[in-house]
Amino acid sequence: MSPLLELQRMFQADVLGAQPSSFATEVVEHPAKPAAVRIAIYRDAYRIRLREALASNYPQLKRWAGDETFDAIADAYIDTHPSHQPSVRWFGDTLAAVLSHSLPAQPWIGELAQWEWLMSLAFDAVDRATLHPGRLAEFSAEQWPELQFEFHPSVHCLILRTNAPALYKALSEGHTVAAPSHTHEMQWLIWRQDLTPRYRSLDPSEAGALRVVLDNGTFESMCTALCEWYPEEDVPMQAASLLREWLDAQMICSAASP
Amino acid sequence: MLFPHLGFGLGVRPEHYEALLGERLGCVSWLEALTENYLVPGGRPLHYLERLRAHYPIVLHGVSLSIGGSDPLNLEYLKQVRTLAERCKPAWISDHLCWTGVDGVNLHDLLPLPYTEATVRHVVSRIDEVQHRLGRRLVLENVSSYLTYAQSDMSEWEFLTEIAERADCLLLLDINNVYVSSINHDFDPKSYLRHIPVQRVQQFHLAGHRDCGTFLIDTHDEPVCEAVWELYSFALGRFGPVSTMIERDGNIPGVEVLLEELQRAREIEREIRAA
Ligand SMILES: [Fe+2]
Repeated sequence: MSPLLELQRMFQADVLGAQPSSFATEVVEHPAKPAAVRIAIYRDAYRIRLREALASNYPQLKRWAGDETFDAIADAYIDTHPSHQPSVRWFGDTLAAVLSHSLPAQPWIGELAQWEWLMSLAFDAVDRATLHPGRLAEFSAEQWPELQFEFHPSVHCLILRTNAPALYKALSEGHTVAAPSHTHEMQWLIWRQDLTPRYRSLDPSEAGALRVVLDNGTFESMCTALCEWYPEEDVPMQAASLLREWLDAQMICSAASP
Repeated sequence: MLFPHLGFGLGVRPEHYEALLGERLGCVSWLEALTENYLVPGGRPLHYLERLRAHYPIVLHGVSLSIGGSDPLNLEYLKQVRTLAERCKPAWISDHLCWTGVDGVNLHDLLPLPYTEATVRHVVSRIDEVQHRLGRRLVLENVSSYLTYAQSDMSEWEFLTEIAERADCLLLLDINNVYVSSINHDFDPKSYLRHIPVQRVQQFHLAGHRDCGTFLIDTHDEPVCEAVWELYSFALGRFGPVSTMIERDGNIPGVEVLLEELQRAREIEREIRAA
């Protein structure tokens, strides 16, 4: 092992505070500024910095939990999930999974974290030009059944079982926050329109149809999915109006027939 | 051999995007953008960077290169920086003379290196590779530090100079960091500056710190202090006009507050030039 690698491993072990190390013997002593105090500056700064990073990635979770609880959540996460990314933007990517696992009796905490993370993914998802609604008129009646759609990279569907989105909304708008609660299974949509992340709930028919086309299904298979909820004669109109809504919301980037 | 002189700038923060593009358009000569904040797939950060660069020269300032680290250079990161640079055409790219973690961990801190010949050689060879991969010379910043390694056998300024000369890279002198370290390690900040080769200095940083009694901590959440202004004036006397900007990362005030601080930097330069 190179002496530099060895030194850096000792320093890092002290900063992470995980195991005792002999790093202090590598640091010059000074009567007024002892080595232990010098090292502690780095250790404390590390914790503060990563707490801040997590707070900036999860501002509403922090508001919900309060400073003290949030710091406890953050510390537990920091101790078990050191960062491996160049940017603190990605620190906390597994927080929702960790919280769902560690706080099963309060599932809204894990779901609030999941929600906030997905909103942040929509915020800086890849830029793509979206399809002008008028362009669909260019396809012939024969082409329509085989049409496939490419959605904007920010589009994401998810299922939640708590009122986490309502908590998120109230927290981010500074309104009174309702009590957290279980709900029946709800389908949600997150995407970005212009530069702003947006979200709304989906009724089961829209969620079913959207999942089909998100999964590269054709317009025809989307219609088949809608038959589960609508009489056959209403399906084409329902399908067309959903497409129109998604286009207007800038969710679709392209359409193509084979 | 230096990149073009840009004058007086600011570290751009999202809080100031709208002001810099709106009522304060053109208020500074250039902007320094934090590289990592723009290594994202898309959305608002890259949108604003694109708009800002239409009005201001941009400099990229990174924190995760870990030029003094022991892990292999992160080539994926370097590729992303290069792609970002192709997109925003920075006047130059800077990072810090430090290491940030080992064994794949990023501590997100700018950690000091032991000042030894072996470290100089290690860092110089890594700078060579980075300069090759980025296709340009690198600008490296001195960091604030809170400890000295027993194995160090040269001063920080000798270390910095040795690396800059041998790797043929440029320096970003953070005047506040020189001052902070001078108090933490009991050296004379002016003699530090006197040892740095004039023709290597591309940029100055000014920032605030926190006084914690026996130590000063580099926090970037306060205005520039009097002692740092005085050291800045000394630095201008030695290095001549150098592109200067103010860094503020915490307690971020309205842009007008930072512009007032920058105005003071301009006035100091004017005085030095007149003298
Ligand atoms: Fe700096």
